[in-house]
Amino acid sequence: MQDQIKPGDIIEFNISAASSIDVGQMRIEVVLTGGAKLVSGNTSWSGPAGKNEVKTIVLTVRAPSSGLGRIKARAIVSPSDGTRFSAVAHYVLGKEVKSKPEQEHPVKKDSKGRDIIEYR
Amino acid sequence: MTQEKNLHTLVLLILLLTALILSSCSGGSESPPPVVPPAPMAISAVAGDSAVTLGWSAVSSAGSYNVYRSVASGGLRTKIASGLSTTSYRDTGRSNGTPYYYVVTAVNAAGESAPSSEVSATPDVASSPITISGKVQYQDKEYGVNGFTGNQPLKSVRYAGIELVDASDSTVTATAQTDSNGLYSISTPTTSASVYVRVKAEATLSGSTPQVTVKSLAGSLYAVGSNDFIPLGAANVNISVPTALIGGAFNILDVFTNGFQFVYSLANSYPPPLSGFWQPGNTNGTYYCSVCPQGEGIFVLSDSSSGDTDEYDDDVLYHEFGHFMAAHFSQDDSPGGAHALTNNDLDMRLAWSEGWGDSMPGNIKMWLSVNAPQLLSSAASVPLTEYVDTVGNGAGVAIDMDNPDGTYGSYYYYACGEVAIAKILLDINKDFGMQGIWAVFTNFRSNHPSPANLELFWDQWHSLGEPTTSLLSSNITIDSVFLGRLVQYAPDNYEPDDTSQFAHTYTFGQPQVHTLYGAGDIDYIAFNAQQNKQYAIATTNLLNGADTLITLLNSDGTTTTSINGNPNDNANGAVYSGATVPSDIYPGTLCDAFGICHDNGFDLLGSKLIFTAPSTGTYYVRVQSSSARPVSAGRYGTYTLIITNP
Repeated sequence: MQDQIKPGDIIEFNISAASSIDVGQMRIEVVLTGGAKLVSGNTSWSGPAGKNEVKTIVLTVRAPSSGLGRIKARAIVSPSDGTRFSAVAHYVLGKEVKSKPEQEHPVKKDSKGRDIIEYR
Repeated sequence: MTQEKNLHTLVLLILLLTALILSSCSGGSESPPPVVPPAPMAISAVAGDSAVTLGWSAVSSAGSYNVYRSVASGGLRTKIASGLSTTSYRDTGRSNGTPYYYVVTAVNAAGESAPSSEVSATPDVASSPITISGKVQYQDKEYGVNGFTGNQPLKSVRYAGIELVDASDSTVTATAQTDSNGLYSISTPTTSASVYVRVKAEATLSGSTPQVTVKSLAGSLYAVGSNDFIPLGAANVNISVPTALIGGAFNILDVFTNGFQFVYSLANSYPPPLSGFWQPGNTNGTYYCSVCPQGEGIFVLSDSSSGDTDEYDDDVLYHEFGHFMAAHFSQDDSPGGAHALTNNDLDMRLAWSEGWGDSMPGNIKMWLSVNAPQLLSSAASVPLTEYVDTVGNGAGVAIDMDNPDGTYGSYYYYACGEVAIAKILLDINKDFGMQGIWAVFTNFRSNHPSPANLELFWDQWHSLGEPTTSLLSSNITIDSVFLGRLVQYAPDNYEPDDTSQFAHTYTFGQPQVHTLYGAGDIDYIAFNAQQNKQYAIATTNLLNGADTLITLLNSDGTTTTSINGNPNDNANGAVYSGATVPSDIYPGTLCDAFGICHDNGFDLLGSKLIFTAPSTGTYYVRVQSSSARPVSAGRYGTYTLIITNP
């Protein structure tokens, strides 16, 4: 389980991207918002990428002293036919945002006052 | 001033599935073909005056619904409505006093689902109070030696808490409990308020406090609610929890309920309450924890990303239930740590603890096969003693604990091997009965002069007067059961050799295999040495937890003083008294995440003396169990004595 990130903590991000086809140009971009500060490393990379080849950039970020810092990383590829594809991953101060969050079910109380997660 | 920072390392992975997208762009299928929808999970039938009002839970993949009616349960059904876009239907023009039976199907472009659970209602003029009754089931997953078979039969949710809930404000207006067949009944005044029935993942077998509960990692109890309905008349409300929802939570509940009933059959009482902690995405493994932040419980893995989920792995759940049993009815001295089924030089305490756990699926399933075979989840062709741990839909582990050699080979021997211990316990159950095992197991709790391991079990089996010969066959003895796994707790062929007078003379080139058995067993071995020749005397191939101490004696029985280190405990000079034994050179040794290796070492605890004879004559080697043995070892065991004259 991931450690709890506290305000001011230093976070090292390994941001990896892979394309499922050979591409002449893949670009990885990282955007920091919400007070998250870049400590070291680069926030972008571009170059060719082979099929399933993993490209990784490493950067170190300081979590904001208050509020939610956000790390947004995007990978973009442009295959030779001129089309363009991108995919995005987010990280919000200790919580990775899933692209398909699980369906939430209400927490209620049963007749004994206990918390229950109710599926219907 | 410097500020200390916590350094976290996080990974973000971006996968660009461009090939798939390009395929879509070039005219490939843009979406997966539709599949036939599942049947509605819940369905209700409320009796009215010359009418029945049906309701059911929505199916997300359904485009419409069909309703069927019959006049006999399971009888010929007539489609009375089709293409319904709503989740309710009022069947009017019925005869008061006549029972009607209904099922609903979900329909989409791929076809029509299987029918829902059947509900019935008998139209009548309104009266109060009314009875709301029904059946609660969950979808199980049958498994075999190759993993899940694909059969997903419905099983009863037994002894579970039922609540009638006001849909407008979630207040509970009545409670009940399912019986051993998943049936429940609630008496309540009629009301025009919308309500629903809720079943909780808890089982109350005795008293008012649930014995078994299944909760999220945060400690919230799982529950499933029916569709809403208005109880203006007697109602029949059925719930069938599918695998795709949280059927797994109800399987955990079912398995632990079986475990509780198994214990009751032995102890005439139930264990204290047990919680299963589970939720989809839990990657922390399956294990029993006596003191965890959430409290005592069995935590259940559900790592869909790796494909390893255990909520339907009954054998894994029974194994952990075995640890729970040990915590409350016996003595578990296991230090924990890494272990593998193929290890047969484990710490004896760890081997006993895990062997007990490994035997529990077979023992509980054998009991179920006699008392409630409908509760088994394994395919009929699968041995009851088969232990299956699925990964994905396949079998990550499949081993018949009653025939382990036939599964993988010949690892499964000795008192330091968990599978060997499981096999011994299964054999004893089959040949002598479970009550004897239980008597010894529970006796550990108040009487464990030495750590809980197979030796203690053996000793107490005899001290409690448990039978030494099976009632089923005079050819089956407790000795033969143990010897079947090469656990020899008996005098060897050299006995009596407890004094130099009865020592057998060693023949060079012919190693002697001895057992240390019984309190204070001492073996004397004589050998003839020639003056000024050097001899190496060693115990090796230590099995079944043996730890030797060897002493070289002169012909008159006095300790030879012409060599250093006489007597010798450990050939490597180490002192392991009370300590955990580190890894030795035996292949397959495992160390846990803390760097502790719970290895009982074939040779690590061996002894060795190098001796140059000051004169020609007979000398004696005295071998006994080391009093400075580590707690991982035993008092008994087998060793091989080798004397060489290089």
